[in-house]
Amino acid sequence: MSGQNNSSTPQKEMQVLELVGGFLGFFGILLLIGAAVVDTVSGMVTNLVSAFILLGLGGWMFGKGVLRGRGSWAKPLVTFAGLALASAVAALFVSPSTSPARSEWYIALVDALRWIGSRLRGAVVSISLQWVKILTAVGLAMVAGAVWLVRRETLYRGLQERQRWRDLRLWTAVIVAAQIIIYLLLGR
Amino acid sequence: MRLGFIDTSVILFYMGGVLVLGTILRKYVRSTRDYFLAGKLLPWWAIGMSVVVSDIGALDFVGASGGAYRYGLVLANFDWIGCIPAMILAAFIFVPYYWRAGVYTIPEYLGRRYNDYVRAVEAKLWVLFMVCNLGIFFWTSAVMLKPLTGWSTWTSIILTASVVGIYTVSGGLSAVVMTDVVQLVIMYIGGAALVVLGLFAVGGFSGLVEKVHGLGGQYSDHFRLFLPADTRSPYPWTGIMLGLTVVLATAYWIGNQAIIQRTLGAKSEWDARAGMLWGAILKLFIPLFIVFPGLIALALYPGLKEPDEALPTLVKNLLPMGLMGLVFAAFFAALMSSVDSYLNSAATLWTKDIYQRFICKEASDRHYLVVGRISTIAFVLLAVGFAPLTAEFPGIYVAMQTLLSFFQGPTLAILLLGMLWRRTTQWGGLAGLISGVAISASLFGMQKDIFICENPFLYIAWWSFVGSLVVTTVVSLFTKPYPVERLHGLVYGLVMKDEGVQESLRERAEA
Repeated sequence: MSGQNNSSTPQKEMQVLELVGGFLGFFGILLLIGAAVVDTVSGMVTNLVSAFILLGLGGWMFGKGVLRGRGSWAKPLVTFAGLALASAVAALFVSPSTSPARSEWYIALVDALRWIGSRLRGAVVSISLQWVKILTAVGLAMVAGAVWLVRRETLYRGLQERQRWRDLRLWTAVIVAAQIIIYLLLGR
Repeated sequence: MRLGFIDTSVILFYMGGVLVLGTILRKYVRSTRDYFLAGKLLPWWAIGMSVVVSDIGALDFVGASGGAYRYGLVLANFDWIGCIPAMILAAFIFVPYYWRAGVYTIPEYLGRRYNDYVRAVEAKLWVLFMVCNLGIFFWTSAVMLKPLTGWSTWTSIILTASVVGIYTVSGGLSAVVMTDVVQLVIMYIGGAALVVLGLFAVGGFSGLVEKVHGLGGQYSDHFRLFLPADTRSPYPWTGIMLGLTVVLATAYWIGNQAIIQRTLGAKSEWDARAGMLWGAILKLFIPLFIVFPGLIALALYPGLKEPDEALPTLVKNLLPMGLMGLVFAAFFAALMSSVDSYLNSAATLWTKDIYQRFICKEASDRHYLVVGRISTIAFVLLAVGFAPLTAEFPGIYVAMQTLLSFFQGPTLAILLLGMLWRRTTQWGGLAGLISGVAISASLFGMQKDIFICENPFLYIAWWSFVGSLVVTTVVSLFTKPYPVERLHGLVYGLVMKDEGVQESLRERAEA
């Protein structure tokens, strides 16, 4: 996708119209998601009403810009709006407040995901927290060790003074040592 | 509780000082490179201090201590294992990579690596997120300050917006970073004073542990850094390891424009790397100032109705006059550092990724500098206008945070695959981004039915990351990749190995 280097003024106006419309519509989508997550009926209603106003206005401006301008903004904004709309619809669709009557496929999906979740949880729940701390310390030590694979010359790139204290691998060793001590000793 | 004359004087002196310092730096801004990248003259110590103070906002002070009051020391993971490994990774692999590639923004990289669809989506999402968050920062801080200062909500908002707006518009990234340095020092001193006085009041660290454990069995995990995998709290160790350490922390430290922009302004590649590591060293102390106050408040004042009252209660009851002013100056420092960072980054994204890319491609550098400044002012005004909407629409804050969390995992997935695997295609990246967001949204909607912990955002981040990785890989294998020549400077091995490309990238970075 490439834009016009010397877009004419009407084209620019259309692009700006798309931009403003896209932003307004996006706020509308945000409010739709807000309506799905808010607890109170009054909150949901105000969010929904505002969302429809913003979506209507934004959609009108955006559509006008896309149809008449057909400039470089169209495809990215369509992708963007489609993406946001898909997310909002997905969130609203599976939200308990908007789908009180569960369909069979939803129940089957949830059962399958629960089954997978319980198997994964069963596998990790038996690992003691003491082992988790040891694994954390080992992981951190590996990070500190891995940075020694980077050559000192690479680290000193762009420097005129090459004192020992500027070796960043040493800094890393100090940081990781402090982290390991914290994780092994604190919160026993 | 009201602040005394001395406390108010400390706060006003601090705000005035920051304003003067920021505006003095105006004389060094001559081009977009000066404005957005501080002329590529930032030293490592300033970068490190700036990334840390930008990460810690005013709401973190209150929210993290409130979280610690409720869930305990596990919140410290967000600043320790949820930062340090990612910062080391950023310092040794990603920061030098961006630095050599000569980009201004992360969406710019994504646009070059994939296509303008991905670039436009990411740039607009970040601009929108930053403007909304600025409004939320202004409003919630003003509401919290009202009972303390006696200022009306609008006085607080306009005062803060004016001070930050003036120095950010004038001095650009240099002003933002240099005022951040001052703000970090104030934040450390104010935070340390509170913790020292708090620990003194509870009888030291052992007294703190004893008092909290003495409150009952439900507080037995309050000094654990890891909670069991089947806990009902939002922070099981599996979520901390996978969702936080692997996905959210990495996405934040290698993909957040506000963070990366500081390292791109470094005076050398070494300064960029060292700045990130110096930030990691400073990060080691942050939980002392934002998590421990919550634990101290629990020991001294158990049974608070709202956990977020922990910090204000501690400040009100422990601090003498003068020090209270300093702690509130620290609070302002946290607020202002987040606001100035978001303002400058939003202006950069708007100017470089939207205006210069799509609206006006061939104008003079002076023109883009003016656009950068005007957009900074516009974002301040937009944020001030947006601020009261936070109170009017209770769902919008949650919705905004939720929406961003939808993008974190998928963005990290396409960023990593794009950088590390030359076979990744533009359609693979787009499909990975869209499907990852859809997975996040679906899991978010189904959370009460399939997860056992409350607010499973760490798990959602992890699974959307995994889903996005799989989809990007599969679609890439079935679609046509860019030729290797097109990927020079964009894929890791090609950036690091080819000396000819290195030379041209260096020239591009220095141009």
